[in-house]
Amino acid sequence: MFFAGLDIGSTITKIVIKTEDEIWTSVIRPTGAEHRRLAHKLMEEALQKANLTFGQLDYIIATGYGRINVPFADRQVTEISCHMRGINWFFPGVKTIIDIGGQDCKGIKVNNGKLVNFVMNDKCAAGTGRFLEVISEALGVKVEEIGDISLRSTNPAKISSLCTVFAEQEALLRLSEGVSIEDILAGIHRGIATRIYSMVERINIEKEVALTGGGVKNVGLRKALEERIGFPAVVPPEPLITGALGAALFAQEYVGRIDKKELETRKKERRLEAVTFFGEGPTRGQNG
Amino acid sequence: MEAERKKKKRTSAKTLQTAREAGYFGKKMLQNALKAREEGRPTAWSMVTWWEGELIAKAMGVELVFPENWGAFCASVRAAEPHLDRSHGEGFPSTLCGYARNCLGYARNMADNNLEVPPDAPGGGLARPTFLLSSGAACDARYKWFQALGRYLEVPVWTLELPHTGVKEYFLPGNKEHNIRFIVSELKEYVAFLENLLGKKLDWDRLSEIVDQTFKTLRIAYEVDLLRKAVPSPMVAQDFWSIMIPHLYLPDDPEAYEFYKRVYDEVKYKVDNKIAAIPNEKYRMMFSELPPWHTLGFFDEIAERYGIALVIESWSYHAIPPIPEEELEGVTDPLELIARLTYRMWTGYNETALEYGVDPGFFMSAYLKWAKEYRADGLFCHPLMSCRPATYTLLHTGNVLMDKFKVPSVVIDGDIVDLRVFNEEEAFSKVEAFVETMDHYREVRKKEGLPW
Repeated sequence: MFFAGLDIGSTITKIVIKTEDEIWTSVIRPTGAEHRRLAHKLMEEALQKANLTFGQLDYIIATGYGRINVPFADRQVTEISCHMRGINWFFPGVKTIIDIGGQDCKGIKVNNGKLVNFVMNDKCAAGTGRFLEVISEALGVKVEEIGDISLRSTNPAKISSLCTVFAEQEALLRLSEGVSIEDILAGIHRGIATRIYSMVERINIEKEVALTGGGVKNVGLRKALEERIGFPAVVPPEPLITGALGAALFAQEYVGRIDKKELETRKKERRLEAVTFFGEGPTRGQNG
Repeated sequence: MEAERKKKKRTSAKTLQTAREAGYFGKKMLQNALKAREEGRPTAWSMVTWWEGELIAKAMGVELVFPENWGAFCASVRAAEPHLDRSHGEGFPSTLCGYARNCLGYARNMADNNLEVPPDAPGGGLARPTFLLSSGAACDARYKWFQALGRYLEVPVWTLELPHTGVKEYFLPGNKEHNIRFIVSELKEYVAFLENLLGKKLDWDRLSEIVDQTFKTLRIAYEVDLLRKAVPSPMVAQDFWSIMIPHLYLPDDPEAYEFYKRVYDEVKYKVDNKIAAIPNEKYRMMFSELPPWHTLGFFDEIAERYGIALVIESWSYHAIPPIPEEELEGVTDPLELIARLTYRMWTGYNETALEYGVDPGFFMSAYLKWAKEYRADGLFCHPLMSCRPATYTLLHTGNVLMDKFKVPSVVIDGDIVDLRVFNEEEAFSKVEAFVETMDHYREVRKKEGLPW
């Protein structure tokens, strides 16, 4: 059997197709404005990569902030639950999960595979991938490179502001004072790590800790976070797909709960069609 | 944009017939004050003083309106934003109380209109006041709000003090009686102020009647709360936030008392016949503290999606458990009765606070008592960027609930008036995930031998 999970995040969209035991394939692409068209396109790509037809997928679950825009999904599940499930599959002993996404950041507590508590920053860019993008743009460095660059720092700068706008100004001010980019970036990573730590500590950080989400691909941030937490954390092989994997795991679980006949009916009724926001009737812009 | 917002808003669906009728009392207050103004009778803008100041003003023939209640109304019809913007333009920061900003923006509009009600004021608007009745209860920011307001409206401001006793101090010998005497002396000064301002004497018999009626209304409101312990829940927060208007603002009104008798009968009927407020009740949650008035439909949605019933909520809006008979024995002075009533509001759950070692008793300990009595599966915490008193105890309450009763809490930020800081989609995500958490702790409570 095949189970699919789609995670439509604010910045990146991910698809995981898995069998009962293993990840069969995954696709990662940037999220655009048109979630519905993207979901369809990415699913086609994933199916092609997996050498599967749409009809072979037994159950599909969508997650992430764009989850309601996947018309062909059988069900939607919140990303908090999906991240927890995905990490639990990789690391069953993990008790605390820190997810650094494009536009939000979460702390999740797990106990024997159960979601027992969570905390989330969803109103402020500080502590998210967006913050790193803004800073890298301001400093004229590629966002993929800022982690490695920061590791060369010998004297991390003190960046006191936690607001994205003010931190950007502060970084530029340090630059004008002659502080090296390495030290500024290391200071920025420390600042973000402190902010994330303070938020997640509200639910009591317990060993073992897993780090996930796109932000963790930044080795500088990862190092700063581990230093702040006080011990090393585990990171999945591809931290971007944890939510999509969790969704696929939920899909597997739901299939186990419904009878075969119902499953077959569902599969027959499901359509992978190119649906867009703009094909659904007049909008204000088009019809006054 | 405005049209879109209005279109998107979902009106809260009350489950009680009486709750659907409660809006009448809000309109009645506003209209009575406008009429009084027209007829040259005194009017006032009052804070919720938990009956400390309102009853005396009413006995002096003053028609009261409540900017806090009106702020909630403006938010619920999504008409608060222009006032918030106006307040912002006056230099008041967005971290200031949403009710205050709504009111200050409106006062500025009034000042521009020769201190008369602007023609487009929501619900007919707040009538021009003769004076402002402020209170130090609950929140320090409330002092400054009415002081600032007084400058726009060019009327006197009277501020009532209220001792906020610590839990251990409350149980010190003589402490309570000392505080009651203090409140009575405050009230005497307040009476003198009103007599001087209005040029007439207080009718003490009328005040006694008003106090007596208030005690009766609050008792029946409390009895409705007791009925709500039933499983399934006969009414939910969406009902309470409507029916609270009569007991919080008009407890002296015989019509409010008659209304509450009908509420009681309706809720009792539902309890006796096991009629649930929401047909698929799966989770029983408490809500703390002040709701997002602009998006109450959210709670209907989570009831439908997940079977969540908000079974008890908002301590600060509830009628207090009645004062023990022995405490009232021989007390006939209406000022002392008022003092005891208001002080009870702020100390009535101190026994629970002492039992669980929490302080302050207000804002916190009611939830510890309610968690058991209402068989709560979770606490919905709604911290407000603009309200310290209703926020600073929330996380601690959540921690104590978890520690003592294995009842988890979910934190969803927002505001009472400012819908711009409430992220509805994220709120749904959090509640959906929280359902899993409540399932988990139901098992934990079972294992630990807790009775629900």
